[in-house]
Amino acid sequence: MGALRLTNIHKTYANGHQAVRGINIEIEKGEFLVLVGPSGCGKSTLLRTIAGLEAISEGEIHIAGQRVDTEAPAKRDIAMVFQNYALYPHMTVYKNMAYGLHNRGVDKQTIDQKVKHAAGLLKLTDYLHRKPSQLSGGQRQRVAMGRAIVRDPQAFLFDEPLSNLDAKLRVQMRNEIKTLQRSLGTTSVYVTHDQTEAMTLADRLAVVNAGVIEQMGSPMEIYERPQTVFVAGFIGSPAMNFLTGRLHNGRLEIGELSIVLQQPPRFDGEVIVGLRPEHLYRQAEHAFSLPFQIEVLEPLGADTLVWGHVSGVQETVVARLSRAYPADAPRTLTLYFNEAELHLFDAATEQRLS
Amino acid sequence: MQRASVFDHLILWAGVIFLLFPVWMLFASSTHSVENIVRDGLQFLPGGNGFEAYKTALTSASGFTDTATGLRMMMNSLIMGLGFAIGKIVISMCAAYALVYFRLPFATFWFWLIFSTLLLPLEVRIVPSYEVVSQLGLLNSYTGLILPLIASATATFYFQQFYKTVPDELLEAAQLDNANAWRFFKDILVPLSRTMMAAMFIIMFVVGWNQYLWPLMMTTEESYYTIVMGIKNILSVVREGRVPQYNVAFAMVMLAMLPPVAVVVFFQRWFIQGLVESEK
Ligand SMILES: Nc1ncnc2c1ncn2[C@@H]1O[C@H](COP(=O)(O)OP(=O)(O)OP(=O)(O)O)[C@@H](O)[C@H]1O
Ligand SMILES: [Mg+2]
Repeated sequence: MGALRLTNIHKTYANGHQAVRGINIEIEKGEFLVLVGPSGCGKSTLLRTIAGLEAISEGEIHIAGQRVDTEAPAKRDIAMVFQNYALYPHMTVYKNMAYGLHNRGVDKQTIDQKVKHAAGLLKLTDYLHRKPSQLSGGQRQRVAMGRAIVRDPQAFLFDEPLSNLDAKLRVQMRNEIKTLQRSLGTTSVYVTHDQTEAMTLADRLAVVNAGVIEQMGSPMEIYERPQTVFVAGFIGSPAMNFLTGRLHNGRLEIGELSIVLQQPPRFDGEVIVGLRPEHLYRQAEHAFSLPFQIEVLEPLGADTLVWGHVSGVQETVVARLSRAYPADAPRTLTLYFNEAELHLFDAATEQRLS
Repeated sequence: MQRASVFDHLILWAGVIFLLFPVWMLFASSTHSVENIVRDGLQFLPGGNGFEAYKTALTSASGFTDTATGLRMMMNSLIMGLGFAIGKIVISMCAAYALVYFRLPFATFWFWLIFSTLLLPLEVRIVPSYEVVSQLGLLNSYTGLILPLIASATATFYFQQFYKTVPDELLEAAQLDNANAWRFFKDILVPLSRTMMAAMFIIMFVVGWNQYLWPLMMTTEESYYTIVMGIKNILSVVREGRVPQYNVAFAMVMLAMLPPVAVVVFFQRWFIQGLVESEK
């Protein structure tokens, strides 16, 4: 039985806006599920309905086998970490962590032991008597985590907990959260719009768009076999190149290019061809080739992003070439790619053609 | 830069002297005898009577009975000022809490209803207020002195604005921490409002202490007289053709000034400390 089960969740706000439109998820005990999606897609709303901070309009929520969707937030045995931490500014770190336990009638000794244990895990022992205002962003983040940990709940809910931190700290905290979650083995639901965060943290990833889950699966599964154009474009950075083309009797036509596929899908008509920037190569060992006109070079250090056009194709194409690309090098170039790394979508439905 | 700051200080000092000058004159005059004051007017330099007038002001009763000594009247004013300030703060905080955090039916209507009472200060409704208090049998009582004055739209409005700036996440975090409405109020909102409460207390205490019209209407027993009434009473013997004890009256004015000044000094420090420390 799943630790957390969402059945047909709908949420319509009072103003009539349908933020969540029929979501089904079953999360195993100890699993780390990441909800990722563009701004306004309903991720936070879904998370807040699990927490009980928003009532659902339809559906059922079960936590550890108990139906909880009509219970008060405090009765659901979940802990939440907020984006802006929501620490009580007038309480010390110790009191911030102890408050939830204190309100549940836990005795002082147990509270003390739990808080000190959590503080040890989070390297906060020296800061227990400080107020949140006397802590750095990363430390505040840890206190927010500590407040969740001491409760030893059935599930952690994270709503973009790292988005207020600078890039470097974000990477560090990301690793800490992952390590901590592994060692505690607590079921977690994590909301983010940062896809790197999503890819690195998730055991399972759910890509949300306009209130529904577009695809759910392991991060690599989603990266390698995106089921819709939306998912394909959302996961991966820089985003996948999309070119319009036609498929006819196993022959794929893109602009002036015409190639015969070894394993064509059974489909005739307009298609969207997806090709990731990192799957365009300069080495001739790959099966197919494209003439490429360079327009802009973006050196990233380890790699160079090369923006340009393929003749006969409208869309701008970007390729991620390893190493630096000399700025005075020729402005035209031949790029190679494989059939296995092509993603074909039906242009009408935007669904993957297997 | 340096010149500018010297100049700034000069201006500030001029302001301070200008404001404190009348107070000093009162104090200096209060140490003279009545005859000196009547003959030579207000005095610049302290006289030879020392703090005698203060002793008289505090201990001897000016009315018909022995009860209305300065000390007693100070006490009454203190009760009035404290009750007024604390009552106003408690009531307004509760009202604002209800308005901001509870989904009341017709919330906007209640808000405007409370707000419209600003148009009805005590002076306007003094006759009906008196009628109500007298029918409740609260004339000549502290309850009667304080209760009709403690509903305050202004303070409610300030607290309401303040609560609105408290981030919603705090309420949500508290909900997850099993804090019910009362605990959220007591453990989180009240401590966060400390600076607001200090500011309100300063203002309201001074206003309460200085109340004149309402206690004058409300009290017929001298044991409930307030210090502001007392000052007036000493001076009003002029009407009976007697020379008022100016020095005692001045001493009483000085004494009447002390508690509000003390409140401001004490709470201002607290207030600023709170401002520096608190962040939401
Ligand atoms: N209280 C509300 N009343 C009405 N509509 C709301 C309310 N809260 C959110 N919405 C709407 O619901 C949609 C989903 O909001 P939600 O906060 O879940 O987005 P999100 O996916 O978390 O986005 P972000 O990444 O920007 O945080 C948005 O279009 C938002 O405008
Ligand atoms: Mg959000």
